[in-house]
Amino acid sequence: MAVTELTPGFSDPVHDSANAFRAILDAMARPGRIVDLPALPDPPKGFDAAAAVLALSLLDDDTPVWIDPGLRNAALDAFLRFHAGCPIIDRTDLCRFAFVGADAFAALVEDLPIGEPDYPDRSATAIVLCDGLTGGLRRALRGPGIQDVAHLAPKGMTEEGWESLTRNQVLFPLGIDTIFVSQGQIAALPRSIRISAEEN
Amino acid sequence: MTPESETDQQYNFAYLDEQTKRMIRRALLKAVAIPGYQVPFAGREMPMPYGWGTGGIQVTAAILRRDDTLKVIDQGADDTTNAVSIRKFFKRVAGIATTEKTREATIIQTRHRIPETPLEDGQIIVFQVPIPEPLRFLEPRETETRKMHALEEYGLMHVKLYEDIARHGHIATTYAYPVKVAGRYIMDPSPTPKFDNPKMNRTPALQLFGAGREKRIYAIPPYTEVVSLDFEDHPFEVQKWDRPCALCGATESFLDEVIMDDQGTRMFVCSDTDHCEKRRGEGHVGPAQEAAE
Repeated sequence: MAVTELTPGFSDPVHDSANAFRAILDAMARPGRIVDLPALPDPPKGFDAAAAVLALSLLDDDTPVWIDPGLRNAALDAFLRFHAGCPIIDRTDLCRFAFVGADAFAALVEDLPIGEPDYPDRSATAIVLCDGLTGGLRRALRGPGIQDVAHLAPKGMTEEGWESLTRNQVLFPLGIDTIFVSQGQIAALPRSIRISAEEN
Repeated sequence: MTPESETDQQYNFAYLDEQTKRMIRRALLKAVAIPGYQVPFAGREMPMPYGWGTGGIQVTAAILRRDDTLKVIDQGADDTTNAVSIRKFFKRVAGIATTEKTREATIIQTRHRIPETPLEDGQIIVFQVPIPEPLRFLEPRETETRKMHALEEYGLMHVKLYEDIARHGHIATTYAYPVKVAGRYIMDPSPTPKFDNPKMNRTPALQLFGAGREKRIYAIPPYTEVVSLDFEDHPFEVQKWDRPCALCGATESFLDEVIMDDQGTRMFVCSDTDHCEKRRGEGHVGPAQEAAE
């Protein structure tokens, strides 16, 4: 692969990742809230800028990553290997982070590690690439981090995708955590959140 | 912000290297996702002894941004050795702004108190924790306490509180009073007085806990239910004082007893120095001030 295909990472790695992490922490602590990520580098071809920021600020050689075959290409592999140095693996049950398109998410959820009863933190975080964080199938969210009720409607999430997340919540404190990303914005859905279809 | 020249450029921003920060950041995200559960992390040696807040400092270093304003308190006070040293440490290695005012701070690192001024959405409070496991004095084996948390087997903790009642007539635990977070995990709120437990319940601020020696991180997201354990016939109660703060006259704040001389003279003053100063600035006067005038 030509060197020119490698897209740049953060221009100021220390402060860009510190700023990005606070936005991610804010999103995880306030499920359903749409948070803007600062400092977006050009993502690899076909990848999302917000997903690229998550990769640059959270991944390293301690975090095996699984990538949806629908997203994977040489430019993305090169980007992750060069900037994050993370192993890219084929087994979903061993990954700590998974990048997946919204359409393929439902089929993936049950294959990801959900942690162990003594160590529920040994579970995967799924990063779901959407066409937008509003305007899709809407669900009401309740639980830790939400004052009363929050709503989330990522474009591209299917009925089956929401159903698999509802089943995931029942496993609490085991389960996966999900971060929806689109065009520089993220919204998180940790396993602790109860999901319902009704609108109030 | 401190000028670049006054910041120690020999270290990475906020002292820790980037890989350590990423490891702590990933642990923090899992801690927030599983409220009250203790996430193990690879705690580093810090340039200060264990017990000085190495856990809290690592959490603060991992979340710190250049534009943050940091407040550090030790037993409520901004001007005690531990608070002053930690504030100076971050000023030196990160060049961030510091404050003593609760409202101005974006991050508050604390040892054993929660400020009297209610915390707001967007603020983060970082607790320094010596022993994160609330069941540790009841069961010394980590493998067993892990299992007890996994099975939600918390009967032993209620037995301990019951033994308090049997022996003393009331629940005699006054600090590190166990709480249940979001209806699932029992958590040690760090050795804060139980007076502060109600402030943890449904606060709009994010609460992070770091234990350096024990290498554990845990968290309470905003607006999360935090219930202090009790019994129907022995409900949870906070400490009360029969006198106001001697300096500012506050009746609703946590008071420290200060010995004044070797004749047994004592004074009760607010443990939260910022709160006390703010009240005095507003013209509130306590009995000691009145007597002096």
